[in-house]
This record gives sequence, structure tokens and C-alpha cells, in this order.
Amino acid sequence: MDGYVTFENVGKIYKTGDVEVVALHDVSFTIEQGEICIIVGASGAGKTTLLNILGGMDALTSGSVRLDGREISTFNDRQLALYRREDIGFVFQFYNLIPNLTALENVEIASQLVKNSMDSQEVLESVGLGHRLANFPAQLSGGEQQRVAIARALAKNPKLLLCDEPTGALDYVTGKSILKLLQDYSREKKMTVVIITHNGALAAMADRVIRVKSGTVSDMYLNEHPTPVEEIEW
Amino acid sequence: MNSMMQKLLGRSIKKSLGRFLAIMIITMLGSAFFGGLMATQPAFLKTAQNFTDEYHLYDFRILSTYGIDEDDIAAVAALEDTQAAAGSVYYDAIANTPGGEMVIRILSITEEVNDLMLVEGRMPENESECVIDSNYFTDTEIGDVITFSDENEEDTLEALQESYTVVGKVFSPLYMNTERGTTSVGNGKLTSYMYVLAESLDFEYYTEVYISLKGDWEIYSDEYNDYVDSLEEIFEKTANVTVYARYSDIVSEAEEELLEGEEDYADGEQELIDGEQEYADGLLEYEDEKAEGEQELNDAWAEIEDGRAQILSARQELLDAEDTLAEAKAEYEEGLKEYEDGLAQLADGYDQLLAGERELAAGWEALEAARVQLEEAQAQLEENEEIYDMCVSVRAYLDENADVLAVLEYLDSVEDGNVDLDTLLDLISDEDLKSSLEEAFDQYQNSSSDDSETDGDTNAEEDSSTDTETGLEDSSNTDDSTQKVTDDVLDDVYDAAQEFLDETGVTISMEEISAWLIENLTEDTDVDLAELLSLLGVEDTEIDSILELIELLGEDGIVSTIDSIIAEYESGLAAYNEGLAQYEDGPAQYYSGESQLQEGWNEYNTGLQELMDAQAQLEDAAQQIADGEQEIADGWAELADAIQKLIDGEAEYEDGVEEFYTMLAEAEEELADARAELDDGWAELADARTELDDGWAELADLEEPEVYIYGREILAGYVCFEADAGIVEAIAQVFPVFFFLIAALVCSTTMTRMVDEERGQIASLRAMGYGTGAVMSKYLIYAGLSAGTGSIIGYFGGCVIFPLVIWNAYSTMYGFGSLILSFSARIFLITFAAAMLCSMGSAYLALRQEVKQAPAQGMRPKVPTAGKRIFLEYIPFVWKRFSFMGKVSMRNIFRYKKRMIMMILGISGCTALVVTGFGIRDSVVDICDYQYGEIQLMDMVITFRDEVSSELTEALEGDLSDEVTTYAVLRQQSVESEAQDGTTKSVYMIAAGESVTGLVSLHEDDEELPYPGDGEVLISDKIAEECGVGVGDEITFSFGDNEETTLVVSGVFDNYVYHYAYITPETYEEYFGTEWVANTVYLSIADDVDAHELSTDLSDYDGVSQIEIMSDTTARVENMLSCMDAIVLLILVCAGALAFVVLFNLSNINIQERVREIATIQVLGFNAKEVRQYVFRENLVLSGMGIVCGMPLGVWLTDFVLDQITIDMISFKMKLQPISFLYSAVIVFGFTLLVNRVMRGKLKKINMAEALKSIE
Repeated sequence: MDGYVTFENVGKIYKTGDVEVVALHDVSFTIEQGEICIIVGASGAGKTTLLNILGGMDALTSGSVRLDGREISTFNDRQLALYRREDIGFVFQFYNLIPNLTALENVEIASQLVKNSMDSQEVLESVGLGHRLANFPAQLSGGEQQRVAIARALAKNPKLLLCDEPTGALDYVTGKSILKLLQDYSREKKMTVVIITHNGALAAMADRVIRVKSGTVSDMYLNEHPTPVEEIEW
Repeated sequence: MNSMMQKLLGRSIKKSLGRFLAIMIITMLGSAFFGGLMATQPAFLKTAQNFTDEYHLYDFRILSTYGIDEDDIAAVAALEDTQAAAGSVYYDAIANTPGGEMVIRILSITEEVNDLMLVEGRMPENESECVIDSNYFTDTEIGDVITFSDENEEDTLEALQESYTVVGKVFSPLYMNTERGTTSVGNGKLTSYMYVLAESLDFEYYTEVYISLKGDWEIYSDEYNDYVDSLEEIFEKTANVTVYARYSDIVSEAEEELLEGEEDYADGEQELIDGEQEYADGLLEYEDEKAEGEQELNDAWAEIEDGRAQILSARQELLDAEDTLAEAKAEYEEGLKEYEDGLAQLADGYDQLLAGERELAAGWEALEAARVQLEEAQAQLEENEEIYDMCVSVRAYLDENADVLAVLEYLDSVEDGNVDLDTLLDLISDEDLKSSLEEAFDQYQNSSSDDSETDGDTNAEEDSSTDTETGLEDSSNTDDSTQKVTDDVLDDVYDAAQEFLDETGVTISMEEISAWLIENLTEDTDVDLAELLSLLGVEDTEIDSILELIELLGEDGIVSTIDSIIAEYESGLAAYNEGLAQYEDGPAQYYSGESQLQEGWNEYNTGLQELMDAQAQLEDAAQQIADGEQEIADGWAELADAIQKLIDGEAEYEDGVEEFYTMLAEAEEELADARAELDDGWAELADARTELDDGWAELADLEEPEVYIYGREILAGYVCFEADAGIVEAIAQVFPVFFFLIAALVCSTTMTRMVDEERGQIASLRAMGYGTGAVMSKYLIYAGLSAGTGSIIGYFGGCVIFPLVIWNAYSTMYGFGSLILSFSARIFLITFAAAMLCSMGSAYLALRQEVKQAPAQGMRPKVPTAGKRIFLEYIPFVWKRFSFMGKVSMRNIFRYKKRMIMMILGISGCTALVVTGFGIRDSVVDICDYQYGEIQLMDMVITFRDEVSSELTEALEGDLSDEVTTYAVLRQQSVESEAQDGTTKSVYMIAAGESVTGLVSLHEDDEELPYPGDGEVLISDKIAEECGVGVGDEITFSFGDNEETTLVVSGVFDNYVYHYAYITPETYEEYFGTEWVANTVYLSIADDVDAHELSTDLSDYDGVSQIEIMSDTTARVENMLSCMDAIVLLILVCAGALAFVVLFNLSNINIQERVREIATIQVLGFNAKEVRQYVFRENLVLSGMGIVCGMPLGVWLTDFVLDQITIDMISFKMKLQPISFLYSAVIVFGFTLLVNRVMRGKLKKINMAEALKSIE
């Protein structure tokens, strides 16, 4: 069972003093290239940990994680940094834009990191922010900021786009438009997108749905006919 | 505040311990710096105060030109304010110490004033013990001995013991630092000191009296100075009174003494005059006695001489008599001898006469015998006459017929008939004859048998002939009786003849004849000579004669026989004749002899008579001689007596002479002694006169006493200490402000950050209903607790560490005791209050905004500072130059303006401190080089009490011109000028010709100033500044007794030490109204001349009061200033610590504030290095900006601090070396890098997942 992304018996234990918290245990799944995968679970189920491990931001305790045939779980800090730089695009719930940089600059700071980056301005235009290039994050609405964040992630031309509750801080409409953007982009560019959400309704838009519960995968299924975002109500 | 709030507070502290500590440390640093620096000077002064109190450092030191005695001491001791007064004496001497030969000051130990601090060993207990300078003699052991060089002045050596044993080491309050002062001994520089008991010094007066006062004022304080000033006059006057009294006593005593001396002198003179008279009398007496004695002696001598002459003449007479006697004796002896000779002769004559008589008788007998002989000879001759005649005829024939002769001769020669006929024939010249002969021979030979008959015949014939002849022939058939007779006769004749011949000298070889005869007659002859002869033609007659002859004579050797017979006969005849003649004379002779003999007898008798007479005469003479001898012996005896007498007389005379001269010598000696005594007396008298004159002169010259009173200001150690302590104070006033300013900034940012972090909590608490005060109190207490703790630790730590460190730096100079720390409640409160204000003030300011807003607002995350374009972006020219990340950094820097300002302020403050540290060092360290290397170029300053010795100025032109390269003679006078702040400043007024510029460079910046003209003055910059005057302004100087003069400033020159003003001598005379009298000489000496040696020589000139060697001054000032290094180091360390804290704190806050941002870029894929650059680039840029801003601030601060350092008379001018800026920049930048390095760990620790999770 070797997919584009493969989780194999992944376990993660946080140690705080003598207290051990099992965040993940025996997580195994695969995601194929070009899929939109939604990882859904309740708060504290371990989905963010899962994403962090996949995104090279956190180390696992046991098991292995592979992306495109490469064993990520054995990477050191340096390799991880390179992995994040070359292969991963992140979109956070709170955007995490650098407030001191304009929209364009926020994209540029990412794109200048990689060789085969996309043109920052074009990416921004593609996410519908062609008119807000010179604006600082503080001057943008939440949706706009998230679009900038997505643009920043996409500009690096990553192998994997990881989104942690991308609509969590957004209103319904804006959230929907963001999801649409992600879905459209995935379809157009055959981009593998992993979205974390606590909203089960969103599972309809995914090619693959992984349900996480109490630190392990409770269910995983492929959606033969993903619903366009516009049609999903929640 | 309830327990919940306390719990929250405790948790806050625990959670953010770094922040808590940051506030604590920064306040601690500030407090330490402020408290420490403020405490340093008080601690120093307290230590000094304690020291001077404990060891009773004097307050007044009084000296007088007449020394100090017990009265003086008692007088000042009796004054109300006197605590104690002690007389002291000191000597400067060249000493041989274990530390080498040096000039040392030996002081007497004083009681109650200037007590000594015993460092090691014990104090002296007897006269041969001493204690030594602990500061200098570090290696000397107790028990070592100090002796003094013979080079010392005699007075000094007399005053001191021969040696002192070191029993301890002390520290004298008079020598608080290493400066030991100058002296007129040796090289002019005191090396060390030692103390001995006053009893071990031999002195008449004390050198000085030290007084300690009752007033207990802080040292160096104005109160103390005022107190001392107020008492100075009374002490001086008191001392003056007693000293003057002593002077009067001395004068009157001296006068009295001198008058007494005059009297003694007069007495002495009279005594001497009397003595001279006595001496003259004595001399006369001596002369008389001498003359008398000499006369007597001369007379005696004359007598002796006479006696001697008499003796001599008597002796001569005796000798003459002896001579005469000897002559007589000789004559007598001669006579006697003659007499004896005569007697002998007479006896001889008698004997001769008797012999003569006998001779005569013998002569007569001989005569008779001769007559007989002659008669016999006559008979014999007559007998032989026939033979002789025959022989003569034969011979004549033979001579006519040579052939016959030859044959005969031949025949004679042939023996025994062996006649060779031939040979015989050859001899015959006649042929006829020859032949006949041959015939004959033949015939002869036939008839040879008949020979014997013939022989017989012949023999018979021969016998007969022999008888007839003289009996000379011997023949066998001769009758014995005949033969006998013949022999007897022959013997007789022969004897007579012989005798006669002996007498007459005639010799006839009778013996030969007879021998021949005997031989030939006895031999057989075989030849028939007759035949032969006939044959030979010999006539018959002839043959007959021949034969006859042969017959007579024998056959052999006929011819020679013939000849010999002839000769014999003839000689016999002659002898006979002669004998006859002689005999005929004989009687005459006999008779004459007889008469002669008779005569002899007569003579003999006469001689006999004569002898008889002589004998009588001789006997008389002998008697006479005996008499003479007796007489002479008597004379000698008499002479001996006389001589003995003379000798006795001479001895007596000698004794007399000796006695006389001994007496004379004694007298002379006595006289000489008397003379010498008198001369000595006169010399003494002359000396006494000189002494008296000197005494009078001295008395006349005796100067009135002068009393000098000094305070502690003459103690180099005491004065320098204040200045050194003052340096710290100046710094203490400026630097702490800086520290607190920075501490306040740090507190502010920290508290702001804390409030920011906890705004949610604040809002929650407030929402829960906690009051604003309660909420605020947590933060105020947090800040207060932190700063308060820091402040307390800092203050006390600073008060201990700072003074100790600086004291330690000074300890090489000031060796008294350990530092006494000083804590001041006032300073502590100020420090504490400042710390509280900074921390709580900033906390309050941070909170005020927060508590104003609604709690709901506070609960929402604080909107991050909005991104904003910075001004640089509007300058595309600049902005485009930045890289993308550069732009990001720039925008970040300007985004957090508060942080930026804090950072720049903090860094620039630190930079300024570092720069100031270096600046102070640069400015202070080279002050000596500037002052004594660029301005005052002379090597030596000689000050005279009144006037420059003209001998010296001559010597400078002459003898000293090799050693001294340049010099200037000038007048140096202390004047005062009023500063703007009302204080009076002492200024050295130099009134000198322009030549002084050869020894002093009067310049402003690098430009030489023209020498002032008439009525103008050049002043040094510090005094110009103090008095607020510039070029062209007027400046007033006060001098003497409230006199004043005003001059126009023509220039202001650079100067560092003291205040100076230069004018010309003409200006001096005109404006000061007195005559210009030079009292100072500036000199430059040649490179190879030792300044100290020269100064010793120069100190011998009249009136020299002080010689200042500039190299010593330089060394002293440099030594003082070298302590600055310690202070500078302290500043650097503190500034560094400050920089570190500021940077660390701000960087820490920066990272905390931007942790999400940093996590984001990490997620974006920034590697560690890129993240560091992203964050720290800002720090570096800000540090750089801080440093750039700090530089001018540092310059300003340096200037300010130097201005504040109020070391009297020293003008500190900022001389920052460019390298110091570089050092400062490197140091601060170094701290930035260090902080970045430390912060790296912090960055590494950031957990992306955690940071990005969500906003709480």
C-alpha cells in the first residue's frame, strides 16, 4: 500500500515532564497524487499533529512517513527545513502572514526560497488578489489574508499543500470561496491537497476522507464523486 | 493583594525568571556603579581620616630660622586649641642600607603627633635602634644595620649614631604616598626615611614642632581648612614671640659674651706684654752669663794650649837629645867597631909579619937550592954540549941533502925492518944513487943473517953513551946502580926544572924526549944505517957523525931525535939562563923583603899604640852615653807627668765646657720655650681677636628670626591623596546617570513586554472583577522586587568592589592600612529610589494603557503592529540597493520603533561609556608628555630665596655652559586672579624676557603665540576659562597686600598643569610698581648630564631655595595619573556588562515578540542560518547605529567628565586617539556578536508547531 503519501503505523507521544500524552498511535493511510484529502476529526483527535508530522514541523515517535517515495520520518532538522522549503506548502487557520510585508512580499518571501517558483504576482492574481498586491496584511480582510496565505503556499510550487482549518477563522461565504479555490486549484494543477477540518460536512468535497478519532484513524474512504464546494452546505 | 495575586506573581517570576533577572541585573549594575563610585571618595577620605586621626597627623608644623626649643613647644602647647605639640629633628644623610647606598632622612620619633604605624617588628627601644620606611624597604630584614657614608657632613655624622639596627618597619603619616621629597644632600633626592629615638640624635634645637589641634573636622573639608586658617595666625604669632625672645636672649647673651671676651682679650694682651719683658730680661742675663763662661773657658783653654806647647817642646828636646845620644851611640859603636877592626887588622898584621919572616927565611933557602940546581944544570949542559953540536951539524947536513932526510924519515917511519925498497928508492931523486941503492939493498938482504952480531956491538956502544948522556936512556944491559944514579939526578933536575919552569912558565917536554929516547934506544934496528948512509952518498964524515949519533941515540926516529935533542938542549940552556938570571935577582929580593918586614913591624907597633888610645877614648864615650841615657829617661818621666797633668787639665776643661754648654742649652731652651709660649700667646690672642671680630660681625649680621608655619598642604602624600580621590568623584557624578537611564530603558521594554504577554490575564482578572490597583500592583511589585533586589545587591556590592578595586590600584602609592568602606544612607536611598523609579515607573507606564481599555478589548489578541512602508522606501535609490531580505530587515527595524530606540540608546550609551573610558585614559595619561614635553621644555627650575645668584649666572655663561644648553633668568611670582565663580585662583606670574620662549613653548593649538608687549599678558587656557576672559579682554591680578593690577590679554596658550601668565620685565616694573628682580632660573641641560647630580652642585650657590627637576615632577604626576587605568578598566568592564544586558534583554524580547513570525518563516523552509540572519541582522544593524550614535556622545561625555575632574591646577583636555574609537566600536560590536551567539540557542528552541498553534 504505497501511495503518494504513506503513513505507516505512525505514533506520536508528547512528553511533558513525567506525563506522557499519546497524540497519535498506529496511524496508517495513504494519499494518492492529485487527490484532495480531508482529514476530519474532533478537537484534540490528533489531526493537527498528524499534519505537523506530514509537514515536517514535528517529529514522530514511531512508524514511518513517506512522500513520493522519500522517507520523511528519518530526516534531520536540516533535511526537514529543505523538505518544507521544496515540497510543502502550508495554509494556517490564522494565515500567519508576516505583518511587516505587503501581500506581494509575503508571497515573495516564500517564492524566493525555491528555484521553480511561480511568479508571485501571477499567483496572487490567480487567487483573485491582483488588486491588493501592495497592501499589508493588516489592510486585508480575513479571506483576503487567507488567499495571500494560499498564494504564498502555492507560489513555491509544492508537492503537497497542507491546510490546517483554512476556513476556521472565516465566515461561511469566505470560507466556502477559499475551499473552492483550493478545490479548483487541485483539479487544475493536479495538486495534492490535504485539508484538516473538524467540519464533517466538508468531507463531501474530498477525493479521500480520513477520519481521525483519539489519535488514530477510525475510518478512511474514497469519495467516488466529490461534490463541488458550491453545493456543500453546512 | 490577595493570596491568589501573590501566587500569580510568584508564578510570573518563576516563568519569566530571565526577565526578572534582567531587571535585577540592570538595576544592580546601575546601583553598583553609582553607589560604588559615590562611595569611593568617601571611603578613601574616611580611610585617610581614620589614618590621620589614629596616627595623629599634625595640623601645624612650625619652623624657625633659630630652630625650635622647649620654650617654643611649651608656648604653642599652651594654646587653647592645641591637642599635642612635639618637637622633631631630622637629618638627611647618605646611608649604607641593605637596600644600597641612598639619601635617607633620619627623623626623631615624636610623641602624640605623627605617630608611626608599625608594619613589622617593634619600635626602637634604645639609641642604636631604628625603624625604617616599610614602603621602600620591602626586602630588608629586621636586624639589618644601617650605617652612614663618610661623605656626609661632619655635623650630620656627629649628630647621628654610627649605626642603627633595624628593629621594625613603619609607615609614617608624613609620607602617605611614595613621594619622599628633596634634600640638599647627595643627589638631592630623598629615597627613603627612617625613625630613631630623639635621644639617639645629638642636637641643640629641634628642627620643627608638630602640632595637632583639638578640632575634629573631616580632612580636606572646607571646615577643616577654615579652622586651620583661623588658627594659623595665633600659632605663628605665639611661636614668633618665643622665638623672638630667644633671639633677643641670644643677642644679649652674645653681646655679653663678646664683651667678656674683649676683657679677657685685654688681660691676655697685658700678660703677654709682661711676658715679653721677662723674656727680654732673661735673654740679657743669658747673654752675660754666656760671655763670662766663654771667657773662662777660653782662658782655661789657653792654659792648656800652653801646657801642651811646653810638653811638645820638652818632648822635642827629649827627642833631639835622644837623637844626639843615638848619634853618639852610633859613633861609639862605629868607634868600637873601628877599634875592633883595627885590633883584628893589627893581629893580622902581626900574623902577616910572622909569615913574612917565615917566607923570607924560605926564600933564602930556595935561593940556596936554586943556586945548587943551577950549578947542576950548568954541569949537565956542559956535558951534553958535544952531542948537541953533533946533532946540529947532522941537522945542517940533512937540511942540505933532502934525499937523505927523506930516506931517513922514511926509515924512521917503517917498523921492524919491513922497509919497502921501491918506496925508498922513489924517494931518491938522483938516478945514479938510486941504482946504487938498489944494489945495496939486494946485497943487504943477502947478508941479513949477520945482523945479530952487529946488534950486539951497537948495544954495547949504546950502553956507554947512555951513561954519558943525562941519564935519560934506558937500557937492558945498563948497570942498575948507574941507572939509579942517573934516575935520581934526572929526577932532581927534572923536579927543580919543573919547579922553576912552573915558576917561570917555561915548558919543555922532557918527558917526551926521554920517552922517545928510551923507546928508540931499546929497539932492535935492522938497518945498517951507516951503510945506508954511505950508499946515499953521504960523506963519510957525515956518516960517521950520523952513526955516531945514532949510536948514541938509537936507530929509530933519528931525525926527530936529533931535532928533539937540539930543542932539548936549547931549551935547557934557555932555562938555565933564565934560572940563572932569576937566581941573580933573588938576594936583592930577599933583602928588600927583609926591609919591608922591618917596616911592617914598625907599623904594627904604631898601630898598637893607636889602638890603645882609641880604647881609652871609647870607654869615655860609653860613660858619656850612659849618662845621656839616664838624663833622657828622667826627661821622659818628667814629660809623662806633664802630659798626665795636661790630660787631667783637658778633661777638666772638657767637663767645664760640657757643663757650660749644658747650662747654656738649658737656658736657651728655657728661653725658646718662653718665646714659643709667648708666640702661642700672641697667636691665640690674634685668634681671639678674629673670633671676637667674627663674633661682633656675626652679631651685627644676626638676622631677626623668621618663623614659618605650614599646614598639611606641604605633605605631598596628603595633598596628592585628595586629588586622587577626587578623580573618582568626578566620574561618580556622571556615569551612574547613564547607567540608570539605560536601566530605565531596559525596565521599560521588559515590563512592556511582560504586560503585553499577560494582557489576556490582565483582562481576565479585570473581567473577573479585580480592581485596577490590584492588577497593577502585581506588576509594580514584580518590577519593584526585581529592581529593589538588584539595587540593594548593587549598592552594597558596588560600595565594596569599586572602592576596593580603585584602592588596590592606588595601594602602590598609598600604603596606609586597608580601606575602610563607607556606606551612605543618603546615597543608598537615592540609588534605591532611582531603581524603583526606573522599574516601577516603566511598569506603570506599560500598564496604564492596558488597564484603561475594556477587559474585552484586552482579551482579544493584540493587533500586531501594522506593517508600514518606511521612509527609505520613498528613496528608491537607496531602497533598491537592499536585497529582498535586507528590505525585510530594514522594515522590521523601523517597525518596532520603541525597540529600535531602546537598542540604539542602550548601545550608544555603552559605546559612549567605553569611549569615555578610553578618552579619559588618552587625555590623562599623556598630560605629562604635553605639559613637560611640549610646553615646559626646561629640565630644571631653580628658585632663589631673594635674588638669582650672580655667581650662578656667571657660571652659566662659563663653567656650566657645557652642561647647561639653554637657560632663562626670570622672576616668578605667585599672584591671584578671581574666577567667575568667585573663587580665587593662584597664578604663576612669569616676568621674563622673550628668551624664555626657548624653554617654554607658548602656543595655541599648533600656532606659536607672539610674546606679549607692554601692558599685555599671555595667560594659560584654564585660567582664561575660569575667569571668562579672551584675547583683548582685561584681566586683574592681585598681589602682595591687596594690591592689584590690570593687564590686557594678548593671547591664551595651551597649558595643562597650574595656571601661568607671562609678561615682560618692563610690564612688571610698570604695572607691579616694583623693581624687577630675577628669582628663578629655568635651565635645559645636555643629554648626558645627570639632573640630580647637577642639582646637588647647583644647590651650593647662594640663596638657592629649591631646585625642581622636571623629570621628577613628570614621574610624580604620571604616577598619580596611572591610577586612572584602574578606573578606566572599571568603566570598561561596567560598560561592557551594561551593553551585554541591554543587548541580551532586547534581543530576548525581540525573539519573544516575534516568535510566530519566526516560526512561520521556519515553516516556509528557512534554514537555521537564514532564520538567524533574519533575526540578528537587525541586532547588528541596530548595534552599528548605536555605536555610531554613541561615538559623539562619548566624546561629549569625555569632555564633560574631564571638565568635572577638578584636580586643582590641572587642566584636563580631551585628547581622544582615533584608535580609541576603533577599540570602543570593536568592544561594543563584540558584545553584540556575543549576545547573538547566546541567542542562537534561544532560536533553536522555538517550536514551530507550538508557536503557530493558535492565539490564546
